[in-house]
Amino acid sequence: GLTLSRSRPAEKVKRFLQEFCRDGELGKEFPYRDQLVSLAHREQVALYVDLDEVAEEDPELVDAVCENAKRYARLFADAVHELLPQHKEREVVNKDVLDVYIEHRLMLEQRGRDAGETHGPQNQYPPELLRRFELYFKAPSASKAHVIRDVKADCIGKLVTVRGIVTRVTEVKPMMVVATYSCDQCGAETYQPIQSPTFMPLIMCPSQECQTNRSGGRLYLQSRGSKFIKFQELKMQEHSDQVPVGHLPRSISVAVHGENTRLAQPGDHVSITGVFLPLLRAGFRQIAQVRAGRGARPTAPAESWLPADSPGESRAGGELCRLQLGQTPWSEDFYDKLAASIAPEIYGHEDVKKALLLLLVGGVDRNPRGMKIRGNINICLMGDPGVAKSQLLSYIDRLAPRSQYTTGRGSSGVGLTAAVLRDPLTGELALEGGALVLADQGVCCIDEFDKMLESDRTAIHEVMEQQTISIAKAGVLATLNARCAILAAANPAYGRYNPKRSLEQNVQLPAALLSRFDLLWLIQDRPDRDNDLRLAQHITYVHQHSRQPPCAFQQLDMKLMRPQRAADVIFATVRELAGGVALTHSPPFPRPQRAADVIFAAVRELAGGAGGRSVRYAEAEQRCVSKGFTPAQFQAALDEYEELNVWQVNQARTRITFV
Amino acid sequence: MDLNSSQMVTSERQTFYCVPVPGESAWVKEAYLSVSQARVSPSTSYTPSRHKRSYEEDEDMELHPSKQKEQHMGNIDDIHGCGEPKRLETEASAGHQLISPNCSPPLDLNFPLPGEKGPACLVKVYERWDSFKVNDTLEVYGILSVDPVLSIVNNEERENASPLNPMECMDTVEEQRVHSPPASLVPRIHVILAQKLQHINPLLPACLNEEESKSFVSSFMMELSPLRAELLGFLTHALVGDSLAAEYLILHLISTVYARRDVLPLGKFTVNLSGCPRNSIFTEHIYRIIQQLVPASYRLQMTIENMNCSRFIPHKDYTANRLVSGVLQLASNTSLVIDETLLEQGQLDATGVHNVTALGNLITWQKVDYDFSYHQMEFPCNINVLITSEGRSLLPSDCQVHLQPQIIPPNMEEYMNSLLKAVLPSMLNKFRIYLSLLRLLDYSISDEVTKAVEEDFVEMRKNDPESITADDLHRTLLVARFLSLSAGQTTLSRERWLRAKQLEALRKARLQQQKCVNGNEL
Repeated sequence: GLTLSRSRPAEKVKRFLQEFCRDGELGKEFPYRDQLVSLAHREQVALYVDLDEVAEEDPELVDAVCENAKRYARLFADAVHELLPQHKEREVVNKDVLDVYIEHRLMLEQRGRDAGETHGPQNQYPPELLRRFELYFKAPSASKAHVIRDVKADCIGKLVTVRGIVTRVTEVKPMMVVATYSCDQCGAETYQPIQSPTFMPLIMCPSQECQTNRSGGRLYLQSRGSKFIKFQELKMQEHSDQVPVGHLPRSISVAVHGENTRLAQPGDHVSITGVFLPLLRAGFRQIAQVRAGRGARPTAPAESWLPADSPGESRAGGELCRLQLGQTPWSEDFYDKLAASIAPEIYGHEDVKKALLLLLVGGVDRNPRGMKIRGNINICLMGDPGVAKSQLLSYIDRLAPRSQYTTGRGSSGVGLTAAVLRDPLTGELALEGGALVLADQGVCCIDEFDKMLESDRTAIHEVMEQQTISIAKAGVLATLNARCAILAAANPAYGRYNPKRSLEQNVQLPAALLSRFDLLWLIQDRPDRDNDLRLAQHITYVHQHSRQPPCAFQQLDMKLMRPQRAADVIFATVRELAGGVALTHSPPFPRPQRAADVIFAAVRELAGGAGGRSVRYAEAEQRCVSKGFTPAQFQAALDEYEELNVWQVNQARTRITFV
Repeated sequence: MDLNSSQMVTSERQTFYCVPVPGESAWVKEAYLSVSQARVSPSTSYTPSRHKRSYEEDEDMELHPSKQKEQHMGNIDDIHGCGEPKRLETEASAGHQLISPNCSPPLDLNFPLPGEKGPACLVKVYERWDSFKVNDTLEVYGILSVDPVLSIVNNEERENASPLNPMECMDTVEEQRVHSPPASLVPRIHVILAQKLQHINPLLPACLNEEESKSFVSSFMMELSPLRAELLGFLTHALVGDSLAAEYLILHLISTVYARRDVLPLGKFTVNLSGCPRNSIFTEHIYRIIQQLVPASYRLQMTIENMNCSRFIPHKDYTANRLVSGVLQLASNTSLVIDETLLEQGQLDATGVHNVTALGNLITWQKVDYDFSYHQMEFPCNINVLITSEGRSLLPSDCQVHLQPQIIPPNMEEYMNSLLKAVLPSMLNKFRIYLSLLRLLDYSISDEVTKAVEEDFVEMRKNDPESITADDLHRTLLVARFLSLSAGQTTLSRERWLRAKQLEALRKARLQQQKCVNGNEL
């Protein structure tokens, strides 16, 4: 019974490798059979078995593989080993010494078999020695990636996928898989397969000849005849978003072998599939079981950002949010809802919040005729003390997936831009990015903008228009990208806004800097009975109940708000809204415009600028036709923008309503 | 042992690295010591038979410095024999002397505060460890293991660690040193029972929700108002006769972050005590008095050197694979006294700027961003910050109180010492209970009073729009909250609200006055 149950999965595996096929361009393709051929010809080393494909043939087998991955890895490897000779189509040229060894051994074995000689178990060739391929599993795409802290005792022996950030990698070192010895008396070779990190070398020759003659043959290790594989260890740590509040991120060590080595660097975001195994330590450390994965398969770095970045929303999280987004009705007040969900603990300031929403979403960079039009908008909040500017900034800092928070006063030696620093250990010059560089493709929040040093202010000029930072310090000439939206907060020149003086006098920022802000909000703290009362109610409610006052509508969760910069649909939507709401300065050169955009502008105008909500369909069409567009063009524009959810056309097609 | 047997059960445990509560006051230590000596005769037999679990999954031994509260002997009666008090400082120090010749560089026990002593230990928790977070204060009962074998083998292995062995190179020597310290220095405790603590005041019952402690609380509340007057008098004397500053100091000492709303911590009350004389021993004595009153405190001397040389924020050391602690890794409700009067002119370097930023974040948001080099992680905290400074502090604060001395003692040292001597130990203990207990009380505002407050605010804004902002309302509500609590009232009354407004007005008038004085000087 035992042999049968063992052979059955082995048969399944063999059948899968030979017969799995899919429809390709040239009829049926056999991906694994093809790969077996290249393995046999030594053109390929690693064979990745995609468990998704196994699932197509035999879902049960996939479950078995995931449950007991190490055993099935051996089964698959045995199967491949058996199948390889059949797939050899031509004579293979020996690539290295080990190939020559293997060939010789196979020949010897052939001869030995003819002579009817019996081998001792240790003189038989261990299968690992003759194999030159490596076999890895690719986890089924349906299985969820684990958080490191969830990999627990019940995962032992199973195939698990974990995501995290690589914090340390060791050098790639050779690890012995089979030790080969030769005897100084009888000349027989002895093989010792090694499965643990440490091993006890053999000393006495176990061959029959030596045993019967009692010649006491000594064994000598032959490094050329032994088999080594590349070995590397990684330490990976949980992403910050996977760690519950108040806990420390956990880490896990991963052992990587063969072709999987050298794929990851410290700081890379990786997802690794491996077998969770306890590792036996020598000596006292035997007590301490340390975890190690095997057959790990680091994927390419998820993001190739600067090391100091915050990792993006987890993929699973992103999917969830898209789902929720789909459920959230694209109601008319969606924009209001989004805006009100920004910093709900701060009362009022709906317009400012809308502006901040636009800043978060951003626009698309355009490069017509080599000219650079940045997609980000820069906002300056200038207001009396105590209007919660810093809180707004802090909220945006937390909300934006990539952001930096700094104050004009307290920026360090590296400051806002970049600095060339000498590494204290190596003595090498290194470029260290400041807040603006670290916030590349994100938001840079600068509090107390008015108190900033003059030198930093000049650096900001370049960032705000060119979105780059050039530095020429200590012989290092470099231009760094700083494609960030700047959100600045400043106090008016006299501490409070003085209505008796002019706007320029109150603001007192250089004109060159001021013109680089697309939106400048002056938030004045004026007494107003109704407003004050509502403000007081808001604050007392918070103190009374330790939570936000109930709102007219459900506020959107921060997680739901977050991934929207990546969502293309909203990208475009709000970009257009940005055009509609408050782009205070227009670029001084004509923008090449598409017909649809012009039609949109015309309809927008007809609706009465930013305030209007809806337009009669016929009226809009008439206006566009009079501007020289065909009704077909109008129809196309209508559909395009409806798809973007900028407006909606009612069923009877009589009315266009702006969202 | 058959590892493949189907009857094999695997379980996990989590190791926590625990240190005594940082900044724990001497009186707390003494109180616990006397209690433990009085009630328990330590048994020295420990039973290693608990290693029955055949297969333990050690969670990669990540250092997890939760602050550990020492054994509190409240309920030890249930656990005979194996419950061995962990307060064994003498043994730990003796062990230290023994082992130090073997240990090449002295082992850094990773205390958050410099100059801390006391045993650190590795606490191995076998169940329900998920609820323990960094910086929680815990009370653990368990089996103490100081098996010297652990350290000896470890030392040997360290020397013999062969470079050929590929597995060994991952755990650097540094990491091994840190993660398996000699047991005599860092004893292991295998936990039987562990619980989080609300507070670490030994004079209070450990859990306030129990029936027994309720009677304690209610009897204490009876004599609250004379006690408050007594405390106010004491603090007024300490603050050289300034009763307003003393009033605010009481409010500060009973403040605690009671809720968080997104980024906004509610209930923090950072006081900036300005007008402190420069380079005098006054601030030091203020700290000594606070130390006598609160269970845990630390005085941060804000000198240029201090700011530039130490890292306040804990950071992860990836070579040793542990979180290196910093001054700002403190347990909840620790009093942090920042002494700015020591600040001289000078240049802050990058570390210094980071430290100042971290202090600012701590005060404004009650959070510390631990540095994990690839990213930062935000850890919420609840630390009472008191800043003493000459002028307005360069750090943000919720409320600035300018000190107005009424008496100028000829010898400050003598004055303060005699003040501490004059107060009876029993009274001092009552002060301690007062401050710790009031912090834990619930508080509410009725709708009626809310209405009145709102009206009041609108009225105030109408009269003086320049100086009354939303922040003022926030602050006055806070002052009213702590004022009510300090009198033992758990709801806001109209009178308290008026009193809070009055206090604020007095405080502001003083600041205004100060501004004028400074203006004249200029």
